[in-house]
Amino acid sequence: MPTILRLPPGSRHALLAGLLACAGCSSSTYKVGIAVDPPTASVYVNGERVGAGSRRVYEIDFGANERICIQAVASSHEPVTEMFTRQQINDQISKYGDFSWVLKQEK
Amino acid sequence: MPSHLTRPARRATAIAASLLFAACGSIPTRTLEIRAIDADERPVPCIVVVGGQEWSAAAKNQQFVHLKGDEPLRLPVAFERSEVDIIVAAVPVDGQGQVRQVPRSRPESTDMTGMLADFRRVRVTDPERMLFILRRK
Repeated sequence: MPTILRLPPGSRHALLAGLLACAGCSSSTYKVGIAVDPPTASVYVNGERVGAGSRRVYEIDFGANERICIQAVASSHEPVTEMFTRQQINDQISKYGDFSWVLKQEK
Repeated sequence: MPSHLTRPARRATAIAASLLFAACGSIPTRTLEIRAIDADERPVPCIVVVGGQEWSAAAKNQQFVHLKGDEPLRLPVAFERSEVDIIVAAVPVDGQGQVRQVPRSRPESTDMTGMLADFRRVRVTDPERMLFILRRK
């Protein structure tokens, strides 16, 4: 016979709040290596400049978002804009490791 | 017909049904923070056109960014579909940051400014802060 856990009403709310808090704590941060040629390029994550082109590992937080945006821009070069889901980030890390972009020179 | 549900259970069911109905009926809206730069990372004065909107309507609604400074445009966007197209196109401005002429299309913007518009298909679950990078023609 299954055991039924009976809790007083106040405890039930506390338990529910605890479960929700745990769900919210699940990690959404990834360590991602990004290298851009030329090394003078700027790297932007979600619209914010995070560094330059030479290889560096970034901590990228999805937060509540389903995708993140990584961009690279350099003077006299064509910029790159890419959107990634968590799955795509995981696939990239497991199959190829770093993200590596070579920006094309503008004609 | 007598219900087998108790009064609190009926009330809970009614509330749940109302919430579900409200969730299905409303259009999600998100305020996006939009900036536009060129390859040298300088702000570019731009018009922001959302989801097949008329360019003149975007101008009337003052959907411009970086006319006078590098402050982003905070623009509420209703996601009537799962994805909304956003075009950010350069506009010609005078010394006071007034738009000299509003383009009506991407080619017209390029003709007026020598810059190629940037485009993105945005989801409601994407980051709010968006950077558009415009290239020279």
